Amino acid sequence: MTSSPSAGFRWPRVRLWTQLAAFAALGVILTHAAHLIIANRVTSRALAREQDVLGTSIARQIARQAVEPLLVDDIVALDTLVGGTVEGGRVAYCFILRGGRVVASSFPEGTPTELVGLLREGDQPVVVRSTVGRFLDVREPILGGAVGEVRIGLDLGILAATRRELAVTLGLLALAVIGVGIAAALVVGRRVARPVGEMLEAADRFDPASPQGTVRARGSLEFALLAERFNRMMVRLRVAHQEQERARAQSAATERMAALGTLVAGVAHEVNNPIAGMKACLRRLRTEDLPAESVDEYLELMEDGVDRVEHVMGRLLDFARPRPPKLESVMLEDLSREGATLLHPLLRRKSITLVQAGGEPGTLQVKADRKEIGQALLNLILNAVYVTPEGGEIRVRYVAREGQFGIAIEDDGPGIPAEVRDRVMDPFFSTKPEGDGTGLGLSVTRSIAEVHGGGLEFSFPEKGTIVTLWLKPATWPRVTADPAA
Amino acid sequence: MRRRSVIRFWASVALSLSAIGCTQVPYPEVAVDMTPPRAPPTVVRTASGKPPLRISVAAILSPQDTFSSYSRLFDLLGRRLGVPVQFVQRRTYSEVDDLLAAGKVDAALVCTGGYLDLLHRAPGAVAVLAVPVVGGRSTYHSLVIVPAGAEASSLADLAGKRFAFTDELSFSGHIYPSRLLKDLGHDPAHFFASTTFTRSHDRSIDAVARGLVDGAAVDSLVYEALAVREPALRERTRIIHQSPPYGVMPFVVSTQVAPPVREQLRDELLRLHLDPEAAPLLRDLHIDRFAPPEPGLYDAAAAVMGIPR
Repeated sequence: MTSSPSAGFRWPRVRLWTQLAAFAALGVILTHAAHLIIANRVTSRALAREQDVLGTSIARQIARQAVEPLLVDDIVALDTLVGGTVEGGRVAYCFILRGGRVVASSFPEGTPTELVGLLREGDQPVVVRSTVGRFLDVREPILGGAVGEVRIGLDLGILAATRRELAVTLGLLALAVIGVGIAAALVVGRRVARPVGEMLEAADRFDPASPQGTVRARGSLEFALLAERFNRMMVRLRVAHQEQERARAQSAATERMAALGTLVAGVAHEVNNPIAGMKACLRRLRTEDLPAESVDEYLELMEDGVDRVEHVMGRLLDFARPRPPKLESVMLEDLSREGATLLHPLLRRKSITLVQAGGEPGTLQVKADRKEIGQALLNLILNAVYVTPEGGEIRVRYVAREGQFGIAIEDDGPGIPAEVRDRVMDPFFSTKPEGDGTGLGLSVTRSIAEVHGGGLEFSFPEKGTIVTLWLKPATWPRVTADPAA
Repeated sequence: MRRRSVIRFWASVALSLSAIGCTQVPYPEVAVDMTPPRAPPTVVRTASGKPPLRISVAAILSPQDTFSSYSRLFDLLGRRLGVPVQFVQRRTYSEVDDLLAAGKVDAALVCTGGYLDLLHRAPGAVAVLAVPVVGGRSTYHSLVIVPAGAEASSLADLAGKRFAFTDELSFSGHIYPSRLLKDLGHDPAHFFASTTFTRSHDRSIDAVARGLVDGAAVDSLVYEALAVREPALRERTRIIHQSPPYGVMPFVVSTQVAPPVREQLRDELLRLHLDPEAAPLLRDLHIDRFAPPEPGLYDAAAAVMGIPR
């Protein structure tokens, strides 16, 4: 199959019911046009034949009546005969020939010579076209032609008027039928296409996360089957979505545990210090006889230490405990600060500084699950800490673009080699040495971002990596409507 | 590709439908100038330039039957004479007589009654050229016929009935039965309940056969010829009276016709039965031949009419 130059042309897309209705209407119109044309032709032929039969019958009757007056030269009777013949109006002219000579004629000023000498094949009627009208000229021999012949002209104007009248009636009837046909086509078209429209609406409304009603199976057998398959497909999609969600939650939990492992060293230090202090206090309380003021002081120090441990453990537990997602309006800045709190020991140990390097921290409010986004940010900062050398700097920048707010983490690391950049977000892909990572960090982070209607974006400056977490604003117009505010 | 063929298909459907629809009256059409002719039609001249010989036949038969019976015979006669023949017909015997008397017809086969009347009205206007011989005789009869189922057995039984005469000048169809009624002591004008003149013998026979009248007086030659052609007529009618024989209808010529032409015409008539082409035509007319009239052939008829000879 070769493509023609006009292959680029495409019919404008129209709705299914319009198309069905148009085809049905076209069918009705064409059928009735054909009926009209064929009926007109059949009627015309029948009328013409009827005219011929009528003309022959009239002519034959006149020929019979003319025999005697013609034989006995009764010109008065002949004149009365031809005069009476044209009285009705259907016969436009009548004349009788004997030996090629007109012996009686309805033409008061003489019979036209051309009409008298009209040639024809046998006794076949001839249509006479003239300035005064069209006539079907019929010839009837008298006594087999031995005595003469009768000629009559039937006015075809009457035939044309009858045909017109008939055509108008048929035309009106056809128009009415076409009108009814188009209306029926529209109704049927809409009816046939309605199940498709309902399925389209259901597809648009479909949310795999929320349980929904099914599409009602109606219309023809095919549409009923389609609706049934469609409902089954939606069920499968919902199940698949739930499976995906479960897998994602599993991945997130795994990654969380991995992050927990990374945090444990710093946390241990954070817990050790107060525990060591408390231990010293206990030892002194046990071994020394201390005045009541000192005991109170030590007990306060111990209480303080327990509070610190409790706080740290609470944060850890909070991080590790799974709970259902809950979207709320939060400031991006708060999210990053909360994440950073858990990282302080680690940052301190590597002498890495976390600095805010730009943006307007007080303005970017997003719709997010505090814990999930906290984990996402933690993952990103942990990656940055991993690659940033001791004494280095990690820069946090708050950014905004059309419809999204973001938080960009920029590290001083060696950057991601160009050949693996496409794969960094694949699950179980990691550039870290074996045992240092699960390979799920970035894929989980991207999944969290996407669930929140955002995304993860990498850019690669000369040194280091910038990864930006984009999120949906809680109330976007508040920021864009009045940038000066 | 597919779209093009679909468009082509619909276009061809539309074209063929419109082609069918355009056909109207299925007859050839000719343009004709319908203005009236400037000059009145000229009088027809014969091809030879000779004036035609005008021959008539008294309407013993209907004009149609007369025409179909005699036109071919006269055409042949004309060819033998070398002149075209114009066949002139009239409804009544007297009209033919008038034409003969006025010289508007050259020759005619007239009824016995018409001939005798003409002799009486215009003596010397015509002369008998020949008489037809039918069944070996130059005489015929007047017959009174009734429907086959009628009870009448004589003319007297038809008193107060409907009766059909042929023509006022018809010897067998009017003159003879009227004379018979007078001889029987009846007044012909009041004997019948109603009378009608049918203008030809075949119509009178037909009227009786169909029961339109209760009786009619007809020419025996016509009755027999018709009975041969249509045997049912004989079955549906019955003869209740036959007249004595009278001289058959003569072929007369106007005395205004030049004598040599008259001679030539008589000769041709007398020799006509010898022409093989004429034989079947004469046979159709039940005429054996034409013969010279016997002297006194019409005396009996003249006596019935009260015309002195």
